[in-house]
Amino acid sequence: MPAYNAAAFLFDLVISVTVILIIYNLLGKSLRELLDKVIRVPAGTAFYMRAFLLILFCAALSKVVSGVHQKPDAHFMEYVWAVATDISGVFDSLILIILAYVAVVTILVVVLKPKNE
Amino acid sequence: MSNETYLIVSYLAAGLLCFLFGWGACLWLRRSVDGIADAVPQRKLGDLLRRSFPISLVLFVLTSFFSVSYYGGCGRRPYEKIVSDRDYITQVNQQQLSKSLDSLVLSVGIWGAIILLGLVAIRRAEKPARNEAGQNPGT
Repeated sequence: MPAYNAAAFLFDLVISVTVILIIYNLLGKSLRELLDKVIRVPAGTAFYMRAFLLILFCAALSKVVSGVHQKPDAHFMEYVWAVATDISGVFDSLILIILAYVAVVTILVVVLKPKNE
Repeated sequence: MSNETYLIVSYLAAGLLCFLFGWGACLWLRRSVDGIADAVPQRKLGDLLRRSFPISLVLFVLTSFFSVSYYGGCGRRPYEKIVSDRDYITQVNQQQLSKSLDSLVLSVGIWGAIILLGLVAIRRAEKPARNEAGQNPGT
């Protein structure tokens, strides 16, 4: 892999991981509290929290791992556009996953019916 | 390294990496799945969940890895052309990894639904136990 492509790939990776960590930090605490209240089985909460993180990482990596394939004589902005296209794919996946996850949590709340405080 | 050796080594390395993705995901989630399997009222169902979890995850990932073809789409690429183009081999390896990760996402999602049903079973088993305790407060 040429050096510029490798640098673009690393840039892709760093941006994706940063975005995932931000999302997890934003949602993690309240999600855990909600799951604790709804599920009442500690292993169940642990499963859904860990699965959430794993799915976010795998979905982002699956887009990033396809890599940037620019020719050595490509201009700087062409690399930027290639990275932007990859990041767009990553964001698409993350949005779909978050929506699907929220749907699953809503089903959990409806089915398991936690007692209101 | 000759192109043929590169093809073999990269194929095996990608396969091993995909297997490790699946196995790593199993290890990451296994303890929580075991905890849920222990809490499920039917012991046999718990055993089934515990045993089928790692198998299904790894098989899902490997199936996706094996499903990626080096021959390409409509116009079948001849073997000589595949071997001579290292960039193409690398791209196929990346495709294999990408598809495996996608299938990992799908399989964990399916397991999320299965665990949900397991949690419903646990909750249903709790209710009669609570009702019995309510009817016999002295015991």
